[in-house]
Amino acid sequence: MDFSIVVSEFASLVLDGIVVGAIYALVALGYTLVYGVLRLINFAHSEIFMLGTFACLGVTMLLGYTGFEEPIGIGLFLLTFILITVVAAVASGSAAMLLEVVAYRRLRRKGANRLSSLISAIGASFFLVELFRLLTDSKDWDFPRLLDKNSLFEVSSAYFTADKLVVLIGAFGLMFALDRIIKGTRLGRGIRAVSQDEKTAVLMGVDVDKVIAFTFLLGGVLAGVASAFYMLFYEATKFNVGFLLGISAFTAAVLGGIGNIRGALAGSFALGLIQQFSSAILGYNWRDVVTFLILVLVLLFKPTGLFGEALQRARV
Amino acid sequence: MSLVKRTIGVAASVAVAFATFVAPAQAAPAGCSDDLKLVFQGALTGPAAQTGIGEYQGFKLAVLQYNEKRGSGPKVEPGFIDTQADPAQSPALALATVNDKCVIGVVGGMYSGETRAALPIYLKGALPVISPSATNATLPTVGGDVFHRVVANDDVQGPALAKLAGNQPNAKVFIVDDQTTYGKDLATTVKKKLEKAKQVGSDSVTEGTTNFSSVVAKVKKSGANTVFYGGYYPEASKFVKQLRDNAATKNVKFIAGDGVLDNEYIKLAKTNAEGTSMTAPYIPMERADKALTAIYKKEFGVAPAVYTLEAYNAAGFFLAAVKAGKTERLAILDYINKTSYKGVGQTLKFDAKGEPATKVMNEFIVKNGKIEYVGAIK
Repeated sequence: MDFSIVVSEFASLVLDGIVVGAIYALVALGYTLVYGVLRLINFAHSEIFMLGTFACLGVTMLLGYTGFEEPIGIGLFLLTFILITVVAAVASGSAAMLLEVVAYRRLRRKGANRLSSLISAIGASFFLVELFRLLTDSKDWDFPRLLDKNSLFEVSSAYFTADKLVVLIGAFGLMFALDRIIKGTRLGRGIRAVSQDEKTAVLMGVDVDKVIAFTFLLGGVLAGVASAFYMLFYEATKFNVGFLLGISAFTAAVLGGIGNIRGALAGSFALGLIQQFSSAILGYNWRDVVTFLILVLVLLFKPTGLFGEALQRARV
Repeated sequence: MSLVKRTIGVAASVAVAFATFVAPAQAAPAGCSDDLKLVFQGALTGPAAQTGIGEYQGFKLAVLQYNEKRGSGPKVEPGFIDTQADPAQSPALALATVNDKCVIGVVGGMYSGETRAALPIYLKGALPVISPSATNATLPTVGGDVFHRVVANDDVQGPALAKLAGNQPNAKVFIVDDQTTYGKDLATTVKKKLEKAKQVGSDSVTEGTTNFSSVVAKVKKSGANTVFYGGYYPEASKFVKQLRDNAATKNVKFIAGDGVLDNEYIKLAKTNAEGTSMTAPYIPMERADKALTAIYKKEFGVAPAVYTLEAYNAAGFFLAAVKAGKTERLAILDYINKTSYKGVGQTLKFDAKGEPATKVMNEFIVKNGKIEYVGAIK
């Protein structure tokens, strides 16, 4: 156990924790949005993310990157990265909508119980993972370095590199945009209405199918953008990348209070920081022990998660 | 099924015990009406496939060359079981291999985990095994007398790595492992053999780790100038990248075992891989025999990979046994245990545990995007 590292490396641990937390948050939002309207854990959401990472990779391959280039200039980078992000968002968003139609919609119409939907979700997840295992030859795939990763400026022990700034600015911008969509648009109102009381929402003229499809689209787009950030930051992917990240994002959503948007955000940043500090102090191998211990403790005392109470009042 | 298996098991263990007295020399093994089969165990698909395919091709080349020149000797068919180097997959495939009466020996498995999982089954079936590349030191305890390997084990590799790390000028070494059988054992040996004064810290990650930032922060704080990583190349490539991306740990010397010795490592880590030192008990085919390398390239259209030569020689030992008239598993096992085989670039002779009599440990370094041979570590 080494507490002195908290003193000397505090700033760098916080920065990395927040960057990782921001990526978790974008994925966690997908879990929490779907849970909010359907009361269903969309286990295949992590695979929507994984699909996004390969979409990113596909774009760079089509653009002719082999991976051994020097980083490109900032102007060209922004153009390239926006293209990558948009393609990943479209790929993940449409995959999420397709998933809803194929794996959930019919079950919902038939009035199947939640357990069937859960099994369907797990089935869809396995299907996608194994499909991509075959398609990608179970290999690790590398992503070209688009951005110079030298430190731009430093705050105490934290190195602010361009990729971290892109992730932070992008993620916070997107969270703000999501907040506006949920609060200010007709479909956003629909999401809030359905998550409060589906039957009443239907009576009030809300098109539930449309709202649910839109929810999946939102979650998918967020996961797609998250995958672009992930690729920029880690520069590698694999068919099981979604599983590893999905577990963290899902945990973050539960920690914050599943179904609650602000909870998912808070839970993600909390989780990012907890992971970073526990692995620095106790060793990386203790990271998940500490993380899940904290999760269990939080749920013991507050079963709805940190911000779970707000769900009932539907303050999404 | 279970009765049959048990009977085979009992018969085998009795037979193994009296192997000295049992030396039948028939044309084909009892119950086999086809050609003899030599089977390669390893990954032909999946993340470890590059090494696996190299080994398989080395193995196959030896068999093809034998068949060409066999004269009146029995024909040997080169078979394979694709385990994806996964311990969960190898036992079932090993059982099918043991149950195939025509199989006279196994060249493999390529990694320690899949080998360990399959060995008890081979032992029961009294099927001789020569692994070209499984290096975990404890394998002989599971494999009994059917297990042999061409390469020196991790008990040799660990101290060599400790020497390599300790030889850095003013060495301050930070030790990281991935908690796999292979990675943890290597790291433990390095910790044991390297002077305590030269060790500045350690950490353990898991297979599949992508975020090494807390480890990098620790390396930075420890003031290490050398990092040892006990693990495989997918994680090592991410780790070395993140070390190089941090101004404080940019120039550390990166040292790893043969789990990182793979061209995929350079492909994933790119220029960050430059200067990485690695140890491996293998001999590059190019160094051992240029003519054979040319034949290999012509046959398969690619250059030999890591452990290709070892697989070639392992197959060669089995084929020498067949040439000497041994076609039953027990006779072949006895032949391998008692004689030696002069292969290409190395002579195979096994001690009572199936370990090689001469233990080679070489150093390699990444230079200009290529893995280069440095020399033997003594």
